[in-house]
Amino acid sequence: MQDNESNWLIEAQNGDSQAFTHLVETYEKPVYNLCYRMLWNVQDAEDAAQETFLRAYQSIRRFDRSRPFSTWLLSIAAHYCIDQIRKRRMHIISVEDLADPDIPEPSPGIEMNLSRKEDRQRIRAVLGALDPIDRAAVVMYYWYDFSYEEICQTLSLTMSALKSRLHRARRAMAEEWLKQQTSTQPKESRSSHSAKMAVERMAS
Amino acid sequence: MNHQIYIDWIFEDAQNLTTQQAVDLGDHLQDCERCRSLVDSFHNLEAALDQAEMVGPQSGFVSRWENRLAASSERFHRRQIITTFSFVVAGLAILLGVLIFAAWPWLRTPSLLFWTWVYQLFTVYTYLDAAREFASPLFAGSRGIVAMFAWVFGLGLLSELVVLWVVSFRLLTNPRRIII
Repeated sequence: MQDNESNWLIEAQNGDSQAFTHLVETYEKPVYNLCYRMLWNVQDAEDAAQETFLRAYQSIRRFDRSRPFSTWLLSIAAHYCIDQIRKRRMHIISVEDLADPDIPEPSPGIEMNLSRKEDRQRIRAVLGALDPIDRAAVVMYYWYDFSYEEICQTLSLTMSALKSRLHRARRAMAEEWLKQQTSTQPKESRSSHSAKMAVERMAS
Repeated sequence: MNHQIYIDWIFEDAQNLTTQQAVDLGDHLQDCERCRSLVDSFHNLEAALDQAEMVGPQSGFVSRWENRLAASSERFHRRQIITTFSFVVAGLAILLGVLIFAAWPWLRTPSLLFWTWVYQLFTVYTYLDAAREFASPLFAGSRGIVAMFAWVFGLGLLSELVVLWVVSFRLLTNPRRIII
């Protein structure tokens, strides 16, 4: 797989569009996922992912093969999405105003499906409250298991800036999550058990 | 009570906390419901993030990308053609403008322009005719005096002198290849 990717990269750098198409096939899902988690709109995510691949294709000759291709590609996607969010802010559209798309996810039952949908909406609200760069950092940290170094490289941040951003983002997300929980659940149904578990986890 | 330090520790990476800090945080969480609910919320959030799957695009993404690439290349070529054409047109317009500006006094009086051209052509013709009249007896005389062999020899010598001159000029004017 890695060898294939290297070959496709070399061929794509020599102007072979078919080789680049193989790279698109390989990375369509990670790139789309990042765009979707950043923009929370199916059409915008599709546009952003397509634009990412187009920009990557146009500047593939400048790509340094000593770097991982995935980091480079996701860096293009993240920066494009950050720009889109900033542009969108000019038109004053909040993330909550956008319709929640029904993305089919395999689920065993209706309850599970409902609970997942609730979680999805909460995640969306929580991420939507973040600054675009913080959002990109969180998405890369939780969905892509990127190391701090990789996130720094992708988002052009220093290590201290990234740590501070992630710290701030975690706090903002936890507070927002708590707010969401409080607004959607009756007080008595909130689990005191999970709180105890959390205390035990922190203490251990 | 100051919660800030504990809140900072809650969202710090676990490996960055010292053992004492972790113990202090645990003790604080036993007593503080506010911080406990924040920790609980954070862990629930992390669990939800872990469970959230990667979302993929609708099928046919690659073919849509290929179409987009084709459209983009076409747009690029069209833009290239338009740019080149615009440059040529702009260049011609500038040239024409300069020409009109330069020739404006003449264009205002076309008859004067015409007669000036006629006069110039006549002058050139007069000069050429005078040169011919001066050179033709010389040429005719020298053809009888000097033999064909001498002409060839003379021209050869002249060519050699030209070559020598060019070589000497290059040697004198070119920088030294080896710097001493």
